[in-house]
Amino acid sequence: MNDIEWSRSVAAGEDAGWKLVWDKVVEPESRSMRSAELMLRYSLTAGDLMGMLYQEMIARDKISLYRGEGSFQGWLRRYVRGFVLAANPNAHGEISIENADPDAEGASRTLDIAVRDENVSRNDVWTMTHRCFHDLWRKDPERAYIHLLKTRFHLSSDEVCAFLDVSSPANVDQIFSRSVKFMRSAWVSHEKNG
Amino acid sequence: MQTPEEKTITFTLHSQPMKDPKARWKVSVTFAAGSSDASPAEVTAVDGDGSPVACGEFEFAGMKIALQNGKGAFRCADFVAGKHESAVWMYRPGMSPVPGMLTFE
Repeated sequence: MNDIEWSRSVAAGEDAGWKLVWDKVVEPESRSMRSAELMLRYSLTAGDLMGMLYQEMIARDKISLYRGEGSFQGWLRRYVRGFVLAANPNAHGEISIENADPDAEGASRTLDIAVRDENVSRNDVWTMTHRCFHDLWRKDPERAYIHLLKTRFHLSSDEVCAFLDVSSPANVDQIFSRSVKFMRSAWVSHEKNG
Repeated sequence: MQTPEEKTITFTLHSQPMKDPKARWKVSVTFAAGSSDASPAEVTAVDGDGSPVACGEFEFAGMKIALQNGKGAFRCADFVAGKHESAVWMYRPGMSPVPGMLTFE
């Protein structure tokens, strides 16, 4: 559908229009280098952005401002980027007093700053695992199924072959090997780029 | 298509995080031990409050599975036919469709 048809579909709240919004605007922006790091910092997810955009376009009727000049995708993307930037709690000059200690003024004290929190580390690993698995899923769902069946359900290659109608157990092994390499590579990439 | 004789396989899918708990969803797709092409696989769907999805459609593996009172079903063979499809959506009357994904659980 062209931009005008797409904008009308979005205005009407139609599945097709909003699915395109997810595929072409929200999801790609949430994975862009520009926004991904900020979203992680502000605990903002792609789902949050989708909800905010729906609120803005439909509840606040901002969709009526689109006149067909310029790309609809680009127009929506500017809103989404704005949501990410607005999520910064210090964006309006607010000062956080969360860590201020009223008794510390004028007194010298030693601050013991924890450099490692095991719970946080475990959560980070789990979150990263899910993130990499999501990338694998998007790349090829069959690879994700095979990865899951081998690592979480401990199925043999013969059993996976029968479950998913793969051509041979050797092919299952090859796909599984590629899925492991992909997950490792995705992990490194996310650590480097956020 | 054949599942192991002594293992039940359950895939868990959940929605992208949404502010409104009612918009969130979690789906379990269960393949019973010893299932084959014609066997039914069971779908169980709840929202973010843990309440069954009363009525809707769950798009998964190229299928749109009707849900009633939190339950649905499909043929195992149809899952295999759609194993390369990544689109996962929950459609509920009166709500925008909410996408999701397979989880590593």
